[in-house]
Amino acid sequence: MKRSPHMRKVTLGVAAISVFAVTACREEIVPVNLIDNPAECASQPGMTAAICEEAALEAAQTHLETAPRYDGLALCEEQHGVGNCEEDPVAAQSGGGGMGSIFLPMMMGYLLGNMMGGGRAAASAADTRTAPLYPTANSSNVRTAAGASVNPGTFAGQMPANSFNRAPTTAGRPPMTQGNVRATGGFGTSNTGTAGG
Amino acid sequence: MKSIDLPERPDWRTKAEEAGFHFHTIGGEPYWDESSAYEFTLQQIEEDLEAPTTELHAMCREAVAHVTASEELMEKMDIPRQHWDLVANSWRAGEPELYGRFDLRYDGTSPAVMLEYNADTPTSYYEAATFQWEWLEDMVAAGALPQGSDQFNSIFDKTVDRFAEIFAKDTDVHFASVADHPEDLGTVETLAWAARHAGLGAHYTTMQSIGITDTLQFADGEGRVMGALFKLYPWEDLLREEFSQYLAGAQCRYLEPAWKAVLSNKAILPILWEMFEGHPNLLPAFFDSEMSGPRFDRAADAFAREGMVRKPIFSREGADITIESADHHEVSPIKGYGAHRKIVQLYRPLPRFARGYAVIGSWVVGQEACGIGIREDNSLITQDSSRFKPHYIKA
Repeated sequence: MKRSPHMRKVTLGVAAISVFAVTACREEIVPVNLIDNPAECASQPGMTAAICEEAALEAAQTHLETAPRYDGLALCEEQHGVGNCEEDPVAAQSGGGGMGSIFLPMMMGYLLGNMMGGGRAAASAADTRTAPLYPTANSSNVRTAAGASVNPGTFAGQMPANSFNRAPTTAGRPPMTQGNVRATGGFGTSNTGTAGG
Repeated sequence: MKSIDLPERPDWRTKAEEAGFHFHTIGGEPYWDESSAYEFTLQQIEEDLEAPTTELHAMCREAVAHVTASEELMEKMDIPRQHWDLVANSWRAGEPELYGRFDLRYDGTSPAVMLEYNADTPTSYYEAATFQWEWLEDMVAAGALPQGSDQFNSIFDKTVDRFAEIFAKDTDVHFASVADHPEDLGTVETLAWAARHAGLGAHYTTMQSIGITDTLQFADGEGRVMGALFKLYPWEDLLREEFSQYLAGAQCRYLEPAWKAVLSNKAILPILWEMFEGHPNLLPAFFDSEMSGPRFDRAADAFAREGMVRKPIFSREGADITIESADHHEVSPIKGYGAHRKIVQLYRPLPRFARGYAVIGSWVVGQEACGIGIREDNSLITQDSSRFKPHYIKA
């Protein structure tokens, strides 16, 4: 897996919102920052520069591993809007380059959840969770790969903890690494199968 | 172009065995046969074979651009609809081709004409690229051929260069062929050597042991993910098998690229004739359902006079081909390709030389002609039982 340390230049139209509304009696609701600018992350309540840096790396990595992937630019833009998709950098780096067939939406910021809850500051990155956010084609909402949807205009600063559930991996493994083979024998079955001529 | 009887190297069988060329004899019959060889002039090679071969490949590329832009033609080629995008996208993305072999009818005087293009899974690569060259060196060293005798054969070197153009150094490339098929293995092993010379990693898997992973990538027989796959296995079969649904999304580069499905298909013959009617290196050809109209009328006299060859659009090793002419009727072995759409091509019998009928395999690596190998048969239809004959350019 090639990992990019670079955050995608964000295009989310709404400034970062940081509201720590606490709901003490429901532990599954956690305070969440909507981060669209890594530089501003550290100024959010309960965050430090070190936590923010680690969170940004984690979000970028999660993005590469779990972003929805599409077999073509048109399919991707149909889901995420025109101009919001790019060629899969993982496929390009792992030898699929030039195939031009796999596209994924650009990451438009990420959710940063403080799993400590209760308005306490996160002590380290281990206390936080991130989930990359993607634009949607037909609404102003952004959503995570696992399907949690947020309207940046009305975001209230808290979300269920399961909003950070990780989506299944969509990125492939690099060539020559051990794959988890689930079936064989799907090639080489034709009657006309020997090559030659 | 002449057939010349020559002394065999006394130790050629030992050399072949040591090189792993075990299929020099097939079913008790010689396959590699150096009891005679073909002699060419430099002019014949350069003007009649090399230049036309490069030109034919360029014409074929034009035809691929034409076909991949036309759903009607993709349909006529029996390319499965669900894979039209895979084939067309591989062309639009400029995926590079590695190699191919034209079968040419050439007699030394009249223009070489294209019989067909083995653009996807050409075999006999080892004997043409490597063993044939050793033969020349041995023959010159032994004084059986004069100093300065040459051969039209930079096939191996050009393949090394082409691999280095296609892949970054140290890229791991898998080579796949069907299990238990030594001739095919000979071809992929030689290509793998070329890949290693180009600084690439080469790995082998059988087609049958290829697996699909949970990330929907292809894995080799040892479960390792494949990022680049040379498959000595025809696209027309690949596209119809169970794992074909994963081809587009498997993040794997294929050699030959998917657009070669257009060229390994004999439907390319009538399409080329439509695009380049009258070209001296083409024979008139039509879909057998379209033998009427002004274009056919222009060729009708020739068909009536010389006869025609009828071929299914998918067939290899001369199977399921019929020759229909006034003084000749020959049907090749039936191998089950016959259910497919058929094309007809003007019958132009292979020239008969002293030891048999000869067909020229003219190799393309990348986009340029780079060598020939000759197969000879007692029958007019060259089959997988034909003999491979070396050649040389007269000093």
